[in-house]
Amino acid sequence: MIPLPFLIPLPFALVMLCALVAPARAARRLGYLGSLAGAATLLLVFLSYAGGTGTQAATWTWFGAAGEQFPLTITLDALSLVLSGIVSLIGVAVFLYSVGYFGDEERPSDLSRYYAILSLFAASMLGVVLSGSLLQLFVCWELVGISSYLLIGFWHGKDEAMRAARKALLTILVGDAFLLAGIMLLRARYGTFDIARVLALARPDTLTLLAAIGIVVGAISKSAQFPLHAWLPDAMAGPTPVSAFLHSATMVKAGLFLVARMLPLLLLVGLSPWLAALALVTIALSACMALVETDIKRALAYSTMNQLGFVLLALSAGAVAAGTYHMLTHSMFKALLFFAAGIAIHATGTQDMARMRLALGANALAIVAGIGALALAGMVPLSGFFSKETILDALVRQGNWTIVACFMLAVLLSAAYIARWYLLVFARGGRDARAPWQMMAPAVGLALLSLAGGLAMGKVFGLFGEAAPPVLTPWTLLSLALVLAGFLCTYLSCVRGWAAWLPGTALASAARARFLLDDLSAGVARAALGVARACAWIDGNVVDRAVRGVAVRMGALARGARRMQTGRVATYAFAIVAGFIALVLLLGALR
Amino acid sequence: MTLPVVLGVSLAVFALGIYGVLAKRDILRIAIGGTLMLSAVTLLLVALAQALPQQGMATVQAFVLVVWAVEAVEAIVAIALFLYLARKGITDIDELRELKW
Repeated sequence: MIPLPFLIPLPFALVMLCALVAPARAARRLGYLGSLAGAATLLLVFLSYAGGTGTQAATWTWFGAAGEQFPLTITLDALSLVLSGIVSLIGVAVFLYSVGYFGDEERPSDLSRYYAILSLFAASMLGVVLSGSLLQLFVCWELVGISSYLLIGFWHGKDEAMRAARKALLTILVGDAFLLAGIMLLRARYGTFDIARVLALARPDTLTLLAAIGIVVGAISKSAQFPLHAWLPDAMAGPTPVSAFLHSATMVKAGLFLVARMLPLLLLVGLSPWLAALALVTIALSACMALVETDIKRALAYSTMNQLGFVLLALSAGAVAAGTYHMLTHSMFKALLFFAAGIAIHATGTQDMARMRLALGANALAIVAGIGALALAGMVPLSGFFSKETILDALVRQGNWTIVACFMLAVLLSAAYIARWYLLVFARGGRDARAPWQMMAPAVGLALLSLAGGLAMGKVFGLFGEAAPPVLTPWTLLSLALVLAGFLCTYLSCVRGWAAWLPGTALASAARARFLLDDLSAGVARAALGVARACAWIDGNVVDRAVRGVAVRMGALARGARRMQTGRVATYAFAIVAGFIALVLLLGALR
Repeated sequence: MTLPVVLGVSLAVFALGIYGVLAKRDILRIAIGGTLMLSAVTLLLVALAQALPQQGMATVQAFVLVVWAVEAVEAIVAIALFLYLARKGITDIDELRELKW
């Protein structure tokens, strides 16, 4: 009997198989099947969690080699539980949304391909968060990366999409190489891939430090943190449900999940300040870029980077529960914002926020988008408020006041950029947006979850065996004041036209130029390409040339040697006789 | 007849055969040269068997019979080939050099 936790990725895997063999007329309805699979997964997750008590691991022999067993291990602890919950819940919403999102212009074969890859992604993402061994995690990790590549490049006729897909794949692969190196170092040092055993055995030495650095680089490339973040905004060239599912709610969480999973090891080797520094740089840069971005989806991508920076900051302070809780709430409100963005793009036919001018007021889209925006800003009493306060609480308890001050500034900035986003998209007396129910229902559902997300705080902290931090403290009030200040800043500058000099400042133009970081990574890529070209030149002109030279010489030799073959019988007969005589003489001489 | 005489005759016939094979261009003459060489070998074998009886007469007889069989087969194939080529008007061996490379 297969242990129940192993069945968790199964529903999505089945959907993938269905999508691969589905007849063309069923392609449009595969989304409903995916939604059902998400619900089944959610059920399986909770059944398996309820089946065990607290943290549980299940093992199944995978393969043996060189006298060693490599087991498949599923760990279902609080962290995996929350993350697999996110994957299946957002999966339900995204598959349903996809049905409405793709109109009749898509060919059925393309839709089957889309649903197949999306299910592959969901199944492998579940594999990542449930993995109990690093080897298994890496395999699923790569599957996640490749499905991200395929989904960004879904419209493979569009040059922009293909470029973005390549960029994402290459950036992530850089991190993957580091991650693999880290995993192999850990294996060399501790002789096992099993995460729990590695964490139990871990000692602070140089090899472990190098491995930890590899893991962190792998994680930040997946989670689009500075300096490997440039792929995420470009990845918005993919379909909007993909942006909602992979590039805000789940895939980009894989890196943070890995950091959270390996956190004891990372803290042991003293990477905490470096994680915090990476997080703060990411938060600062992404907030500035989100404040000047005009593309509705790219702005949300920067805010995703920003919010993931918050999570990384929480993790650097050792607050796994707070970080996980923020991942949970962020998945809800960010997927919601992407859903809203998709509806807005459908309604207006543009991604430029300045030209959208959608109706503000009592219409469903403006309300759900408003809920998402308020949750992101951290407005009481929405989910974002609670998760942000738990991070703040962890930082205050850590007691590094520079980080706390930076966090406060980040709270203000995130309120400001999301308010700007909202004010640009929605305007008084603008156009009304209509959307099919398959698009609106998931958005409304996530809006309700974002509204009620605060109620889950105690439950999530309870899973980690911790008490939820108090909600009402002076710090909370201060951050709330900063949120309001952020709203006010945006209101004054965007609506009242105050501080018109602001977009002209050096900071704003630097942010518009994306702090040259895209150019930097492009430069690195170009340099790597140069190295590759040099290698290709050496390969072609030295290695291949030597081989070709040998072949040419041999050919010339053969052409010379074949002149011996005259075709005249007399020649051969003479050779036989002469050879025989020579042989006899030789034998005689040797005697 | 003494052994040296027979050996000398055998050698002479063999040399004649080699000369025929190497120097002649006529296909039929070459075939005759080959046959002469085989005959020289047969003669040698028989003479040696006579002179050195302890080597066993049966072995030599077997050898000689096999050589005759080979000779017969060779003659059949060679003459068939010769007739085929002669009908096409080819008698010079140097005209047959297409199968070199």
